[in-house]
Amino acid sequence: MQRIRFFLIFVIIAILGVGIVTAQAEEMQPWQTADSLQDTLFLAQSALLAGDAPAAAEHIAAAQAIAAAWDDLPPASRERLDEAMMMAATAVAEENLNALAVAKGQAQGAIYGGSYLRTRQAIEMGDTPAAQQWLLVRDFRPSTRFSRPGADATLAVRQLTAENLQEIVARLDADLLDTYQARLSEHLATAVDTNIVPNRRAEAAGLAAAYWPIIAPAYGEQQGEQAANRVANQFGDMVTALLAGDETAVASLATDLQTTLQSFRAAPLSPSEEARRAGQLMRFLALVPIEYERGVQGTTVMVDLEIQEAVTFMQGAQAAFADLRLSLDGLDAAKTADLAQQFSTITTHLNDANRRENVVPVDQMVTAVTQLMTELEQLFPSAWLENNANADFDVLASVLDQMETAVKAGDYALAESARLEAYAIFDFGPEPRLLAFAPPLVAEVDGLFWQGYSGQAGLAQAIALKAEPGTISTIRQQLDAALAQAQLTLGDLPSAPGAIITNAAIIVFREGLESVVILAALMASMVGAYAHYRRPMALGAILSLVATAVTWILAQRILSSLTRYGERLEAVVSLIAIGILLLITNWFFHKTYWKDWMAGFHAQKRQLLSRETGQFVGLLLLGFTSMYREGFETVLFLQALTLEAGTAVVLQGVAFGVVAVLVVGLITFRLQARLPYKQMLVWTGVLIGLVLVTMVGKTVHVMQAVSWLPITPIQGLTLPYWAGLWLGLFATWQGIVAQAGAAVFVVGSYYLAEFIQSRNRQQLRQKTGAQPAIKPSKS
Amino acid sequence: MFKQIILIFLLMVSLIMAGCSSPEVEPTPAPVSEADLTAVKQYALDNAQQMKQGTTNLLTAAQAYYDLAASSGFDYQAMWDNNTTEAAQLVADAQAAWVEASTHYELDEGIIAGVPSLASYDVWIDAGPSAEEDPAEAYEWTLELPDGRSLTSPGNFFHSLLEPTIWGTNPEFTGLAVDLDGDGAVELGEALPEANMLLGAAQGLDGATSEMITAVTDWQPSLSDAFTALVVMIPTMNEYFEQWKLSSYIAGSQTQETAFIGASRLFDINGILNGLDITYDNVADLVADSDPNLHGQIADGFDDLRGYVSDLYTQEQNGTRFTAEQADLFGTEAQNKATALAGQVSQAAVLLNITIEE
Repeated sequence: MQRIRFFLIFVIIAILGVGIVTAQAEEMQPWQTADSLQDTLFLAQSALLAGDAPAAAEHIAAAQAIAAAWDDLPPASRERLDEAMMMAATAVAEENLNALAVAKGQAQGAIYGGSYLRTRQAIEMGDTPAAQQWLLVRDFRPSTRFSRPGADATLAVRQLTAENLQEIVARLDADLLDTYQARLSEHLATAVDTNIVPNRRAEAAGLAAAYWPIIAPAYGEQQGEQAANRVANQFGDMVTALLAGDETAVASLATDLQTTLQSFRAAPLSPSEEARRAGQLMRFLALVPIEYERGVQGTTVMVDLEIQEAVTFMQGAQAAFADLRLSLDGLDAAKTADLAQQFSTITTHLNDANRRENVVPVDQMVTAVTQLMTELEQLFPSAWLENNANADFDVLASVLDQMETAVKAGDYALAESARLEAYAIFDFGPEPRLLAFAPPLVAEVDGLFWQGYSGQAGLAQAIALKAEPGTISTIRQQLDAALAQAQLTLGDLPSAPGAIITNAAIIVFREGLESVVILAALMASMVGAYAHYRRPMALGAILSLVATAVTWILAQRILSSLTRYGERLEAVVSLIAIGILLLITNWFFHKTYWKDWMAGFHAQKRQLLSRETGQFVGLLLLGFTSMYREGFETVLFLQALTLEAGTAVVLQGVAFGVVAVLVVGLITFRLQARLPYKQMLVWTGVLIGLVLVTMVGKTVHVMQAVSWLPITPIQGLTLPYWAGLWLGLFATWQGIVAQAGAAVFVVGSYYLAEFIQSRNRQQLRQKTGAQPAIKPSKS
Repeated sequence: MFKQIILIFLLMVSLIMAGCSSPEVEPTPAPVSEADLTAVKQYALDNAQQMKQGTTNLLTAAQAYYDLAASSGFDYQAMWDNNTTEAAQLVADAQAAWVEASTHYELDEGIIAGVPSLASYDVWIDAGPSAEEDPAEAYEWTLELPDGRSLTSPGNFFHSLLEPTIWGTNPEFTGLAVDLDGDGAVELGEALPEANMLLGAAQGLDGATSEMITAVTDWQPSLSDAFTALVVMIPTMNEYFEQWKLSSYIAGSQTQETAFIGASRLFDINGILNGLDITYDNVADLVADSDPNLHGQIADGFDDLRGYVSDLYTQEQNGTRFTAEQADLFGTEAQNKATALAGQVSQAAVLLNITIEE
């Protein structure tokens, strides 16, 4: 009798309410309607729990009115919502709190499912405002150490255009289906947990059952529709068993359902996402033994933070492995199981070390990780092993997290080590491609990693000065913004031939100009009787062009092995170049700046000729290294472009760049030849000095990057980024002292030359008693 | 001369380009920074200073109580027998001062605990477990007591040390259970504190509060701080409601919980949400500019969650005694609202390119 009374109350209130609510609902946004419905259902729960069944009935009636007026939900979702409302009404009539909780969960799931479908439809129709509105009605995955609530769908909808509808739908699916699958699994775990109060378990069971229809189509596609229906029935059975208090059946069904959830992925990773995870996996694994080696000596843990870092990187690797597990099972299930066991063993070792118990020696850890990586490489499809910039950025972010953790712990040495690791990942990974497509971003990222950029201090400087964690964090934020921009740039590279040709031309022109200026500076003095010295330099330059062409061909095959050496290679080449330049500078002043040089030349002609061979080789080497250094860089940069657009397109850009360099070179040499000789000598000397000082500064910087030199910032001195870019000036004592040394060498070399020349003249006068026969040249 | 100038210019330009492998450009746009967070800092500072007033009062009461206990040779029965009124008043003063300090801290907690550079003060003052409760998570510090004893990693000041001492919920920190209100029964919360513990902890809290005020004064609030506080602190409702469920406000005298007797956990939750709401208010314009609908949803979510907790607290203050089952239901609902709200704030942070720290 009481039930009948409650039903009558529902009917009356619902009829009255629908009219009012319909008008309101039309003006309400979907998220407002969803919230309103949920709040009303909660009020019913509260009332029923407080023993006020009539009040609960009123709330249910109000909820039914809201649901009835919500007519823009997709039909299937509407049907599920109506069923949930009916179940809620029955539950209240029966004063069954658990059944009401199930109904509330099912209503929530029906709403989320409907919102997901409406968002999808809006995207397919290119209706961004509608997609944004519906997307606000969604569940979120709780954040963990490696994941924040997903925002991919939110960002994707903002990028919706008529051309990328399918891509945006895919991104929506990836975010939401992944979220709902994860949440479903969590709710299932809650539903089966007998330590949790029945009411909460019932709501979780309702949510789990209602989330299934959201991901069921994906399961149906992978496993067949029948299998999907069977799973749906299992969810229904589990809810029934829970309400009946049959814990054995609940546990059994929940176990089966968890197995089902673990055996498929509602939003399968795209091939590029799989490659990205594989890249993360290998990069994280590679870092594990490095950290372990730093933290353990023998079987004793020396630095806890290093072990914690190793554990963190291992967790990152395991998360990536878990994401790839299904695909790997498809490739070789037995092998994958074996790999999982190896992961487990290594994790156990790391956890032991973290507790300082049963610490395994470094060799054992290195061997275990190396074996695991080797076997993963053998199992991975080749596409997964290619360079993956996104994986680089992911791991880089994680290493920077470790840097900040170390700073917060006051361990600045460890922070510096993490910073260098992060920089190495950037340097070996995204930087070459970025240099080809967006060199300004490289400058910014480099600056923020090192001594600063555009008024913002750099990490190297801040860590060396033991800056506060807040300061480091601020730099990190700026760096993150630059890295995000870099990632975006690399993910959205221009593929139009025109853009590629332009980029290639700019690279060649930029590197070519560097060669021109050095050659122009060095060859300026080689006029008149010395004109023949130009020949070995020109020959060296020509040989360098041949070597560059050979490098181009080789680079197609061995680029990865070249880049592996990264800045170490650059440091060595730069040191050689500096050595030669120092020799040449010394020679230049001794032979060029004698005030009576022209006269002295005749007197010493014989002597000079006897050194002809050595000078020839030296000048040839100078011409070669000056040009090849740039040629080598050019080849590396252009490889990134050839990967994008092919050799033919890139070569067109190269041709434009070469023509531009030739034009500028010709103008330079022509104008140079017309300058008064003495002024030319002065300017040449100054330019050589500048080139040398700049090169020394940059080489010191590179050597600091590979830890061959320490970093000691000059406190209070902040240099603009252009000073580093243009003049190799960085605010570290090592760089400034080395550059000062180079400058002293240049100036000292000049005065030494003058002194020797003056002494020789004096000795000559003493021997002959004669006055100088020839005055210094005025030409 | 003209040619010389051209040549020099050309060479210099070439040199610059040789040294500079790329042109100087504007740096990548930094995360938006238009929000003025001065008000958030001022709010935190105001409450910290009012908290300090409470800790000073607490210290005064604790010192007077200690002197009284010392005059009785720390014989609490003798002290109670000979100075009943004075002892009861000092305990009441200590309780009032604790509530005053705690109230203002709770209003700050959302910010102090949520901002990475300030979070250690929350662990020390209000939230950290003792080494006995959780060795891995315990904050490492030592409390020196006037009698020379040292307590290593004893937990936080408010709930691990002072509340159990002042309300007598931990026998180790209690001098004597007495009928403070004179109603003829010795009930939960009626006890004379152990004087050394009370004075030592009160001194420690007062010092820690001074340090916290310095840290807040030095704090340069950033958008990352604001969004991190929101995302980190909003989703912890389940934990708070669980503590509420286990506290004397729900479990009554059967409670095993030594804390949350001086003030209901609901009041703490209210305070935390108040601080977070103010924080959001100061970044709301940025979110509204980026996505008005999302801002509307977040603002509504805050109103909803705050109203929800506030309503429960008002009911409790008006005498409603909720059951454990109700507390669980309320906690689940609060967590649902909080999870959604934190997710929405995360979306806003991503849209604004603001980093949420770990």
